[in-house]
Amino acid sequence: MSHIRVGRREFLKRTGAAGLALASMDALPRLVGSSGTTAALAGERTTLSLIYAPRGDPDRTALQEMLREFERRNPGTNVEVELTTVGRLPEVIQTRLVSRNLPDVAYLVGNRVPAYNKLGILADVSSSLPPDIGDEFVAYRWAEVQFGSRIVGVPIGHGVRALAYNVDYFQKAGIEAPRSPDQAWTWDQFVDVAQRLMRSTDAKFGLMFEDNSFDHWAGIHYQAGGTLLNRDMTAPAINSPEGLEALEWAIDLHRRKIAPPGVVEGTQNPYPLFTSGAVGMWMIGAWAISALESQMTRHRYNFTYMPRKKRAAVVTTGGVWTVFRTRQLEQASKLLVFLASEESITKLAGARAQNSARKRARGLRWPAKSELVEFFGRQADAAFQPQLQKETILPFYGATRDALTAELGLAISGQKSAKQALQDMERLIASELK
Amino acid sequence: MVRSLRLKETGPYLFVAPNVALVLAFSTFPLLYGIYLSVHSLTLDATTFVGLQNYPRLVRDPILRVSLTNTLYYVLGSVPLALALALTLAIGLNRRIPMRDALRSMYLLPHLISGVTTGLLWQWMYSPSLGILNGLLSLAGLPPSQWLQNPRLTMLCIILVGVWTQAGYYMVLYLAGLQSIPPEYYDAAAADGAGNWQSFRLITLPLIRPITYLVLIIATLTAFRVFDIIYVMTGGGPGRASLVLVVYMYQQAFNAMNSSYGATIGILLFSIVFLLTLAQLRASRA
Repeated sequence: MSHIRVGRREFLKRTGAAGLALASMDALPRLVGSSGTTAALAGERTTLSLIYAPRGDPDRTALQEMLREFERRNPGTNVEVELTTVGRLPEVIQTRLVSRNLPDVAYLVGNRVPAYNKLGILADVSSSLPPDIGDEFVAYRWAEVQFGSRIVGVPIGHGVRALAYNVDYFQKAGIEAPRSPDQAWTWDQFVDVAQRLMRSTDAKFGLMFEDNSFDHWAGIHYQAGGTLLNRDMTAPAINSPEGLEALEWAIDLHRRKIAPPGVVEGTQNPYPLFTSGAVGMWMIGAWAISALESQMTRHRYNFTYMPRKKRAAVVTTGGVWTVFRTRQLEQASKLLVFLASEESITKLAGARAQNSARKRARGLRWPAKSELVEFFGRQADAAFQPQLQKETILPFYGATRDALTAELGLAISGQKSAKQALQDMERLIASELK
Repeated sequence: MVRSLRLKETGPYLFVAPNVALVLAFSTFPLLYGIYLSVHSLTLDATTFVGLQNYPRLVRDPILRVSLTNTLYYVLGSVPLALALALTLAIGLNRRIPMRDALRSMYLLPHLISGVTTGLLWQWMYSPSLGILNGLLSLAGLPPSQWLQNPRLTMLCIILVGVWTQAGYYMVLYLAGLQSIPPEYYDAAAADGAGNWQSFRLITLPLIRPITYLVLIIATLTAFRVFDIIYVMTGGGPGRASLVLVVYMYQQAFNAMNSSYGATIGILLFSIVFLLTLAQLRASRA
């Protein structure tokens, strides 16, 4: 048997080179420009990359149909789609940024756009769009994409929050839901209704907060008369008597077991609680309709107006098409113009069960409960608060929202007093405003 | 002849090279890139060297301290429990008992389920309103408990899930160790009048010590890196009651869009795990 000498240095050199070559393969697409590899190498076809976060099958199908139409109208261009979830969007975009491999076009949640704009990764598409296009959109949605003369995207829809309720329970308890915004319940009436549901139906809990979302509580805070920032938006104003009232109200509902534990803290999935009938009312947006349609089989549901305190208020959120600063800006802008058309936006917003961000959306249809389109429009109009909407699209909000949500959870789970949580929220906002 | 000799000389390199290349590509390169990220600030146009400014922030960051404490709690809670349970199961299933193979597979099964599925499954079981655990308590006439919603219980509940997930895998490692002990040793001990406990203490435990060190290292590494079950079950909540280092790193890197600080937390985690592993290896040699 012959003896084989293994030269350690030589071995490490060779395998090291192979390893580095393997690792650098990841960088190859970046050298030839994001996903346009095919175009750059072959000089014939352009491949655009697009990231989308579908809510379900209807909007996934709608997007596929739209992109097929775009490819048909633009021979030589094809669009590669990467699907993810709304929750994972920040992770996907951040990973792409770190690896310098940004997509050409992406769907983003509107109130994150200012933060991405601040990072300088979004392209200014104002020269590709008609000069007065902003007038065709709902003003507060458009505000998410326009920064001075820069336009970094196009809003698609706006998801409006309202109050979902169990129709069977309401009938059993003899409760009639408000039929117009001026009939919306006050907080006290809302809690009374919740307690009546717990007494006269199988509901274990009368009402439920949205989920571990600060957006939802920001609306409640505003209903109580509070604001996140002062009037000139230079300093936090959350630590106020109104802020305390809103937070203590939420804590009290949980302490008295009128609201189920774990939902605001993110340790319990709210969907099965509502669909099973364990909860009678749920403050949630129209985007839940697709899931409710498939999961709520034992009870009927409907929506009514969100309760109010000193004033009505809800934070509306929506998706935005954005173009990133890649080498294929021209083609990507073309795609954006296509996606911004009334036809495209109506189709996609409808498939996501949202109202359209365009003022005109002829033929808007949802996968289910299309009869509620007008109701959600009225809810949005009745509860729209310019300052609240402006606050939630400032960069500080996107940057602190998770930490604020954690503070909310700390207060509701009793780990912090309401006062302490508000002080910490104030500190977080102040630190970000600096 | 020369050709055959050359093949004999280069052959071993060829066999090992793919693995080394993969380790370099997917472990060493990301680690080095993590270090690079921790000392740079990234934008699309520029990579700015920021030096070590993220590292003092580790000391000042109160949330990092919370996440480090929670991580240690999880490690100290789950590792001994998982090892003890794994060894008990391995000893039990090393005997000739009915359905032994089926039981071995059953205990291994949780390890084969993805972390996300495990998290969702247990989140449902722990649900205070709809969960099976409170259902059982109710059948027994006991009041329901807020498992994941009670900050004092949250980590404990997660530790149990971690143990449930890992114990079966460690059991398999222990079984391999137990089966390598020659049965003659036990026969001789029995002939000398040794009881079960004495045989276990004086034969089994010393002879499976290398396996115990191996399992200890693997269990510690796994526990420090726990992410998926916590991310799915609690997201680090309620509040920050179950916020561990990796979840905090994820939040910083992706939600707060601060890759640089996220990478710095990653380097901290790597350093802790690296030093602990070195210490454990040294202890095992001693």
